[in-house]
Amino acid sequence: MRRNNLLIITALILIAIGLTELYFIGKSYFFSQLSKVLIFVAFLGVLSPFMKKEHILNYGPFLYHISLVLLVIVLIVGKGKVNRWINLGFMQLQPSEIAKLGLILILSKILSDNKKPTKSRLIKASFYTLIPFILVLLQPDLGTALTFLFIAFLMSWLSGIDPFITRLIILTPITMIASAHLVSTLILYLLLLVFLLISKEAIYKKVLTIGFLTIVSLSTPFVWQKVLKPYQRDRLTAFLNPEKSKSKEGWQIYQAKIAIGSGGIFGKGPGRGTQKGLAFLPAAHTDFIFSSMGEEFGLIGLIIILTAFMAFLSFLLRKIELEEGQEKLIIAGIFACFFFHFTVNILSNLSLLPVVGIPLPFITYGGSHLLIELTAILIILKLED
Amino acid sequence: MNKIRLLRASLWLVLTIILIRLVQFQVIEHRYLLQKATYNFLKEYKIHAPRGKIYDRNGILLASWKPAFRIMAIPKFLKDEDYKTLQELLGNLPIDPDTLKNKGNYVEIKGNLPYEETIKLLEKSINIKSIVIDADPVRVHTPYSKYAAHLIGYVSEASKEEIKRFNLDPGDFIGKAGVERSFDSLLRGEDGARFIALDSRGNVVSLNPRPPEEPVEGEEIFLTIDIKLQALLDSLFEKYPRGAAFGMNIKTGEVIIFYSKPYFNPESLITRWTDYVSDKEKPLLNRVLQGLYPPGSTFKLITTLVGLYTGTLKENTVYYCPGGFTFGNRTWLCWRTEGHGSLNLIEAIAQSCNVYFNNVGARIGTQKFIETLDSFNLPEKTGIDLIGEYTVLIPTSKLLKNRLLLPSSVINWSIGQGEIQVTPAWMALVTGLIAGNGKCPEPIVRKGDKPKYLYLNLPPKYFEIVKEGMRMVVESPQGTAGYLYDPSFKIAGKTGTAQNPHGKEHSWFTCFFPYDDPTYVLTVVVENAGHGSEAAAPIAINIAKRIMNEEK
Repeated sequence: MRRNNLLIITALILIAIGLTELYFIGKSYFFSQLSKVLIFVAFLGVLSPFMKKEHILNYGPFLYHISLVLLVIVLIVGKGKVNRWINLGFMQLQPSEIAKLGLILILSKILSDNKKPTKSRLIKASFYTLIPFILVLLQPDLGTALTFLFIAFLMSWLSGIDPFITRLIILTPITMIASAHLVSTLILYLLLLVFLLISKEAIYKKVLTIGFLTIVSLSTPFVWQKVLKPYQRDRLTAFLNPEKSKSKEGWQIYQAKIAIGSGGIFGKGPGRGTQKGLAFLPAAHTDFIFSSMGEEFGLIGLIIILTAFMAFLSFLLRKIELEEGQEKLIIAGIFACFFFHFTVNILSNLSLLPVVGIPLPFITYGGSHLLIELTAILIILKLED
Repeated sequence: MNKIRLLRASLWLVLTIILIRLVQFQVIEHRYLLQKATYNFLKEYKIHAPRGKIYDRNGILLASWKPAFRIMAIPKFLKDEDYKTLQELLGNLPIDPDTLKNKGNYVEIKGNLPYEETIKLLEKSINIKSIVIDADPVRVHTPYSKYAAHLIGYVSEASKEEIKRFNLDPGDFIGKAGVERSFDSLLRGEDGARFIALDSRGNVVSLNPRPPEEPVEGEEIFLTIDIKLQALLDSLFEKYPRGAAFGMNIKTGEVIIFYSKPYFNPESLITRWTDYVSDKEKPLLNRVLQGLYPPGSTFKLITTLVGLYTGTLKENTVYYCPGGFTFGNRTWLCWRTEGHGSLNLIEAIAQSCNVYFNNVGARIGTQKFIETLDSFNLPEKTGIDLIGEYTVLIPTSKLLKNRLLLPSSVINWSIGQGEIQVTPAWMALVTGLIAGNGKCPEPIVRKGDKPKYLYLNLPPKYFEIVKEGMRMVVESPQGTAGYLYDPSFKIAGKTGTAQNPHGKEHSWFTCFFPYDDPTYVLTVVVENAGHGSEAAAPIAINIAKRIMNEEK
């Protein structure tokens, strides 16, 4: 029980750091976010005594289906270019965040159902993952859609899938990236052939692997050229050379780099950052809050933040190790979600990944992700009862 | 369990990558990036969105935009000698240096510069490093636009109150009248922004350090009017200096004719602004919606409805007109001083006999007249989708509050004189209510909009009587517009000759057509042009024929 305190303490530290930075970016962000924190904590505090472990284990499908309905509503109601939010008055609800929790809970139920054979469990799980994936992709919100895939992959992998399928899943993104150039594609195939020659797998699996990856490497350039619009392509590649990029995204990534770098080891001091604000880092409070903190708190400040995240994530890993069955899978899904957000957000701040609009857990301005993160912590605590 | 170990390893791998990258940025490249951040001194200024284009119903362009040049500067960085140089080159600048000394962002020093002046300036201002010359869209009009000047309206720089109310910036333009004003939010579009990098002294380092945010052009508006008909109407008004005309389709609410004379020329509004403001003929006044005229005999249509409703008047009621009507110790002369003799209601409308309607009014009585109009609940405005329409003055208890009422007031009202004042558009709407047996849409000026409907709940029989009278105005040889009768064109109308304190009578004609299937109403007022039958009726009937031809 004492170890659970670590979970709460690290989360509170991260929330406090996030609020501090929001205060220096803009007081209105600070007060708005603070009120959300207080409302959510109060809400979950009231909810907590009524929440039983059985509810968490059994009500997943209910939450999942509600979130699907909300995702459909968002697509129908939203008239603008990006259809992500439902206006609740005091905050904009992002149903895709609820869907993350819904997906984790329903997958945990499906994948831990020992009465069914592994294969049928996996097919069912894939089906339940694809629906929210497609709905969110239509918004369009690539980052959140990929989060669903990562959660589903990690949970299935832990519940035990054929290494052959795991390999296919891991090789898919690698093949997609490699297909950007002929040489990298050839190298990949060469390595793959060597591996398949050595391995003692059934021949049909080898044929399937080659066939599947050939389809991926041939269709990727087609999707890239014909399906994606130029601005979407630019968004995905801007991080490779932000200084030269002509797009708004590239410019922001470059400004994020200047922000972090100019902060140095000790930072410019709270409120002293010059990069944030309208002209340089318009998204200082959302996508690029990590850069903003890097500028003001320096390397030392960032190391404190990273330590808190590492403690939080390591603790979740330890929990996965200790739990069994459905509980284990729920925590694994929660870990997957946090790990993916943490990694993708920070790496995109460091010009190492494209910016796909993924929040930094506990810190980024916004209510929906915070509500889900706090609920996830409550769920972990309740699973021990 | 080795899967967990693998996950833990990837977590540490991610941390390692992050730390390596942070050391690269924050330790190794720190000095270089800090320098970048220090030199980053970015200022933004607005790029105005081009205003949406305005077309007539047939797609003829009326208002558009073109780029003009403007000079921008950050006052804080503008040295006194620079300001003097600019003054020498440009003449008086609209902004004085002292009020702006401390403004830290870009301000427009002068806008709407002609091309030659810009070139001249560019050659000589190379030494002034802190100014920026940039293109900005301005409103331009086609020559046709003047025929609908009051409907289109105009734009000019937003006033202090407007800046506050609509959240604008100084130098922004806003529609001040007509469609430009009423549909401003549609036409406005979305402004963009451009960025300029400056060093700490305010010198321009880079003109495009960050991709600009492109403005979005405002929406196009297709008006319901036919500009060619407006031009034709203008030629028919040639002899007359002042007047107005308003026509609408009473099935759709679409305004077909919207004409006010004298008009301003939107093409040269800015250069001739002071002339227009001081002109005694008031070219800026929108006479269609803001011209309040005594309606004269056109109001007899309403008197008839009041009479029929109160029961004072029947279709076969006959009065004798000796050429004048005496009430108390005052006598009102009929316009035909030799008298009309005995007339029934239809004949009285057709020949516009004042004495007949004086008799009707006297029998209704001032108080009953007001009560009846109150119960009719006539609109006080047409409800057109334009801002600035004036309320009419008709004898209802609300509009006549605090006015001295005499038993003889109704004698004047019955023939559209006395306190009564209406706009041409309102008279057209009333004509529409009669033609549509009590139902008429509120006028709309933008194609595709759906109008609301107005109602005058009276028995259809009453409207049929009034319409029959209006038909005889044109078809009867004795009718006031009888001399314009054309057997091939079925039209019904009413003339009006409104006495006023400004000279000769105003000439009115209000009509609907075709008679068998009322589709259009048209009202024409010609100021100080005498009898309705002389000036307004020929213009209206001419235009009415053209409207029907266009429909074919």
